[in-house]
Amino acid sequence: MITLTGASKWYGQVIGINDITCEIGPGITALLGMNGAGKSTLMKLVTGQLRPTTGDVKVLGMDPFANPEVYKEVGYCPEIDRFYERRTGRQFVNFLARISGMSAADAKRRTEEVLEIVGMSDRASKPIASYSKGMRQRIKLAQAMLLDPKIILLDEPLNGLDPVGRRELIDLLAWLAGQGRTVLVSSHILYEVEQMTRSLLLLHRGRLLATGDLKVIRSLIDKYPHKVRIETDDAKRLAGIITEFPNIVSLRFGIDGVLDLEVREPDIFYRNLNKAILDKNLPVNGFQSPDNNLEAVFSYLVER
Amino acid sequence: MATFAFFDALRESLKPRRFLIWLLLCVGCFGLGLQWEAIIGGTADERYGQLSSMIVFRMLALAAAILSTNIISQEIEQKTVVYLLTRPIPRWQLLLARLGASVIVTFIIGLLGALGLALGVYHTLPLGEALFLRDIPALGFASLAYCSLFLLISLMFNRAMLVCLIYAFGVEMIAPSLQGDLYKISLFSYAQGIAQHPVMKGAGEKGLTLISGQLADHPMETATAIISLVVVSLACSALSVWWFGHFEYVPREDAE
Repeated sequence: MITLTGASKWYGQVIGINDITCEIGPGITALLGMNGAGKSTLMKLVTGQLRPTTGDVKVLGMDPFANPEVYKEVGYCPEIDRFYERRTGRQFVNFLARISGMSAADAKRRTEEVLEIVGMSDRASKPIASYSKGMRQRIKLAQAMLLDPKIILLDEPLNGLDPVGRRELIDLLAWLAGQGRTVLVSSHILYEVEQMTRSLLLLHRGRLLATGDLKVIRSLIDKYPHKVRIETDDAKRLAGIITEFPNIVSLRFGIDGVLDLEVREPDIFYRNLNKAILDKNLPVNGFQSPDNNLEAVFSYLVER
Repeated sequence: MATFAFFDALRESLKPRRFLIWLLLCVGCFGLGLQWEAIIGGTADERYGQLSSMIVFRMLALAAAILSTNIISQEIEQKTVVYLLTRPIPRWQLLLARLGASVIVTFIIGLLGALGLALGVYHTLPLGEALFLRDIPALGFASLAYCSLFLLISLMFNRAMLVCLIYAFGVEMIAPSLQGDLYKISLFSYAQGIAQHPVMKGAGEKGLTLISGQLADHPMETATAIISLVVVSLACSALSVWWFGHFEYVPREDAE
C-alpha cells in the first residue's frame, strides 16, 4: 500500500527524515518517535504534501505529490489544530465532502455518517471555535473518513482526547483495520501505541531505527539494563532480598530510603518484586522506572 | 469540484460581515462625488474621471489584493491549506475556481464604487454616461489582471499582502505619471487606456493629479490596453497554476 525507498527529506540544512526504506500494509501500523523524530514529515510525504529530496515514495503504486487519484484513497487527520473556526463542525466536514467531488445529497449523507461514527452528530452544529480539544480531534478524524479511504493516516490522533475518547478511537481504528484498511498512526507515547497495535516503525532523528513487531522491539530493549527506583522505609532489608533476584545488574543506595537498580528482563523483575512484597511484607512506598519513556528506549537502540 | 470551490469562495467573499466594509466604501464614493464639485469644481465628466482614477481604481486594487491573497496565502498562514491539498481536487482547478470568484467579487466592488461615484457626481442613474460605461470594461479587465498578478505574488512571496499593497498604492500611483516607458509596469495605465478618463484641466492640484495617475499623458489605444491586460492575466494565471502545482505548500513554521 505504502512504500518508501531510500526516502530523505531536508528542510534546507535541517533533516526531516533520512534514507528511510519501508513498506506499510493493511492493518494498524504505529509510527513511534519523539517530537522532531520526523513522524509528521513522513506523514506529509505519504500524503503528497511534500516531495522527498531523494528517494521514492509510492502510495498504491502512485507518486502521491499533488495527486488527486491518491487522495481518493487516502484520508488524513493532521496534527495541526486549525480549522475554519467560524464554520460549524458539520459545515466544515460537509465543505470538505463537497470539495472532494460529492454531490450535495451525498455530502450531506456522508457527513452525518462520519459525524455519527466519531460521536459528534449531536454536537456538530456549533462553531468549531467553541469546541474542546477532544471535539476538534473528532472532527479532524471525521473529515479523514469522508471518502471511505483504503488508507487512513492519523498524526498524533490521541492528543487531547479524554480516556473514554481514547478508548473509543482505539476501538474505531481496530474496526477500520479489521475491514482491511491500512491505518498509519503516529505517536510519541509508547503506552498509547501498545494499546493499538504490535506493528511498529520506530523513528529517531529522522532515521528508521527499527521496524516490526512490538514484541521484537521490546526484546531488543530488554537486552539492555532497565532502571528502576524503589522508595522504601527499610532499604537495607529490601536490598538484601532484591540482590537474590536474577538479572540484577547493579544496586545503589540513594538518599531518603531510595534504591536505584539496573535490571535486565524487567518483566521478570517486576513479577519477582510483586511476589516478594506480598510474601515477605516488604515496606515499599512506591517505585518508578525512569526508563519507562521513549527517550530511554531510543537511547538503548541507538547505542546498540 | 471546481464549481463547488468557485461558488463556495464566492459565497464566503460576499458574506455580509466581509462585504459590508466594501459597501461602506462605495457609499463613501457617493458622498465624495456629491462634495467634489464644491471642493475642486470642473465639469461633471472631469470630476467623475478624476475621482474614478483616484478612488475607484485604487479601491479595486485594494480589493484585488485582499481577495487574491485570501485564495491560498491566507490558508497557508492559517494552516488550513492541508485540508485542501489532501482532497482529490486538482490543484489547478482549486486555484482557478477561487481566482474566478475573487475576480468577480473584485469587479462587483469596483462596479458598485463607480456606480456610487457616478450617482454622486451626475445626480442620476449614469446609464447614459459615456465615462461610466467605459469604466465597466476597464474595471472588468483590471479586476482580472490585478487578481491574477496578486495571486501569483501571494504564491511566490511570504509577506504577499505587503508586496501587493506596495504595488497597488506605490507603483500604481507613481508609475502612470512617470515620463518615458515606465508607465507600462502599471496595470492602471492600461485600465486608463480603456477608461479614457479626461485630464482635469482646472484642478491645479498636482498632488491630486499625481494620485489619479494623470500627471503625464500616455495615450493608449483601447484595443492595445485590453490585449495587454488579458495577456498579463493569462500569463500570471498560467504561472500561478504551474507554481502551485509544482511547489510544496505546508504551513510555514512546520518547514522550519
